[in-house]
Amino acid sequence: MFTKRRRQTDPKEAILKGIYQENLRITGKTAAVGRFGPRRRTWVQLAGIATVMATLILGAGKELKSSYGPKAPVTPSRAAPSAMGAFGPLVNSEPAPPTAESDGASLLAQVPVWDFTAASDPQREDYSLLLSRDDRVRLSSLFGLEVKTIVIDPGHGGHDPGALGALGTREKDITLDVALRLKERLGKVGRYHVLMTREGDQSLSLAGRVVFAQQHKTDLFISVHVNSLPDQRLNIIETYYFGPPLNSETLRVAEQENKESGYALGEINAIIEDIGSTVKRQESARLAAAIQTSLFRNVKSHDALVRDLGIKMAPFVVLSKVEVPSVLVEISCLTNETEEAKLMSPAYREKIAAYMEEGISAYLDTNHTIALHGEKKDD
Amino acid sequence: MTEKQEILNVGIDLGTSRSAIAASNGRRNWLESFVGWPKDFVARKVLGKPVLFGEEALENRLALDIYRPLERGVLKEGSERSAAAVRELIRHLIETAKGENGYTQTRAIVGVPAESFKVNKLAIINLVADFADTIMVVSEPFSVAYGLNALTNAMVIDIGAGTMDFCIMRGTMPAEEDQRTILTAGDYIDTLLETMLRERYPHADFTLNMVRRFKEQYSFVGEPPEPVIVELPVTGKPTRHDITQEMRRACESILPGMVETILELIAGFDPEFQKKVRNNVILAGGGSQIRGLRAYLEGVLREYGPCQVQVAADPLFGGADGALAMAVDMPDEYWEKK
Ligand SMILES: Nc1ncnc2c1ncn2[C@@H]1O[C@H](COP(=O)(O)OP(=O)(O)O)[C@@H](O)[C@H]1O
Ligand SMILES: [Zn+2]
Repeated sequence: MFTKRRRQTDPKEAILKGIYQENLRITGKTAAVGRFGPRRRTWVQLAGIATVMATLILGAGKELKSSYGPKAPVTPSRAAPSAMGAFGPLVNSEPAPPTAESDGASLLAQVPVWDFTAASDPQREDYSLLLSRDDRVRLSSLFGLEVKTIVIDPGHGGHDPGALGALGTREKDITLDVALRLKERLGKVGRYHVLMTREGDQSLSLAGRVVFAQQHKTDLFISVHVNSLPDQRLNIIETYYFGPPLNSETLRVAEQENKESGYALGEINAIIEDIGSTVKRQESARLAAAIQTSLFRNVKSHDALVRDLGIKMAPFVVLSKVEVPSVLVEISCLTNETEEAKLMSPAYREKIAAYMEEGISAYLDTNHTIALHGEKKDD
Repeated sequence: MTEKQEILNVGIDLGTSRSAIAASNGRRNWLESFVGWPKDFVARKVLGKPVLFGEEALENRLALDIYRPLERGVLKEGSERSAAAVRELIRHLIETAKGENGYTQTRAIVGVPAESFKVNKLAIINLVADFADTIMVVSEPFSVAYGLNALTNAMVIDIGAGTMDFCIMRGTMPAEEDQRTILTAGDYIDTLLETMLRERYPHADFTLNMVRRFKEQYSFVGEPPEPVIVELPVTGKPTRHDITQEMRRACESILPGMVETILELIAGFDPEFQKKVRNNVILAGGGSQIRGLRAYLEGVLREYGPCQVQVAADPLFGGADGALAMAVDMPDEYWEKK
């Protein structure tokens, strides 16, 4: 009795009853909702088939276009993947609640306090040439992601010293030494064929580095550099990855090909290229994140002041062909005197190489868990 | 083993921008409300999945047809794909909540934006029907209120992406006149901020998504807690930009409509009730995170007498937790099996 009376006055009871009655009304006097599930399922399947058909009939160009058109639900931009999308889940390995600290935007929390435009490595820009048009890159490596060949590219060399430290250290010497140590380490794993774009102090054009990578059909490309910054107090670590901004050129090419050949190989190629660059960019971002994470975490353990600038998509690169994952690591800052002194010690350079190896191995180890070619029965 | 132990209760918050689930087995999950289907068989093969969600869908957007099904709080009219997207979202959420466990019965309460509740409630029940044995829908601010136990003398304001939903709680089911929805919410701020930034920095290169993330990190009203400096590419080079004033103006743009609606909603009640509600205003949803918002509203409402505004502790799971609490509390006899 007593409980019953209390129930009457408990707002929860009244509200729950209200919800129940309201839902009865919604479904038309009965709480048993109509199941037109099976019909929908068929519809979804039909829609899937229709999409494939549309692709075949209308051509890839049209399909591709929808992701660029003004009505596309998500506005694509060349900057978006670098600034946001690709980063959050890569850096924070699991979905984190969107708080200021843990969201994908976390990288933006470290807004640099200097004018970044002045800090760029002059050589960096020209890397747009790098690996930009390699028709021979094996699609098998894209689908299977089996990494066999790794090319390490020590920045600068010969008559190009790169950045110079106050104590006289030259970037080209540091990059070569660290690269050699990294090669040695990766070689010991026994699973990879590790090559260097230069093994000594020789001049090497960017085009030359590109050709080298292409000729050896590399699966990964890792360029080693040392930063120089206007603010000499700073020490930062950052990793760039090469990625095609979402450009209209790819589209134009795809459309052109479609026009001429109707449903033909060119069409499929265009789709593969498009997806290929997306996959490749993501792979590059993963590789960059793995190296950056390991390098920063380890350096931070003995240098509290080092700053994590995260990974960034090289914003100047315009690539339209399938490529292999490629990154440029700025391992340290030559303009910081403490840092320069450290870089002069072989033991420290060995450490840097070890940290990079750790990152690369982490990437390679998780590589096969990425669902790139899951075969499902419903294919 | 009684049958009761094999029942899984779930609460789902189906949002314009984010959707979340909380289940009686302790599992919780959320994702951004984006659903993407591979564009064709090649994409399907490369991605290895028939459908992608949230961040992963955004990352692969080139290869996908992407849908954000509840734009402006409602299911897009006549869009079967939007319906299918809601269906996939719910399927995904419920499947992750179930995990490998078998349950004899799954009971779901789905909180939807107030507008969607008006327009799409039956459609949504039908979309969920395949994944739960018995379903009820409620309007979102209501489930948030239930979760916070703010059932009497309270006003809940759910500031979402597409809509800002107001709901006055009087110990019973909120009546039509106790609820209000306005469209100046998260997406509105984003668009405005984007426009202002394009005007001020015509050479900077950015997207609406970037603008939204900036907002989520730096939003504020009133005096700036700190200068808001962000990095935007200019001809490819990341460059620092001061966006403090734009951020403030964009965030403050939602205030007039908000204050007006609060005052209108409580105006009809007797002064005693007004006073109680003024002292129990609860901000929920992602937009409740805007810094300075609570203080601003208190400042405005104080002109009418003493007041207290609170921010719900968990903007992400508030709706799902509330819906779960309803599902758990719901008497067995109200859950009818199909
Ligand atoms: N810290 C923040 N400051 C301002 N707005 C935010 C913040 N965090 C999230 N938001 C915004 O809140 C909205 C999402 O809120 P949510 O309650 O998840 O909405 P919905 O239920 O409509 O999906 C988005 O517009 C998002 O940008
Ligand atoms: Zn360099």
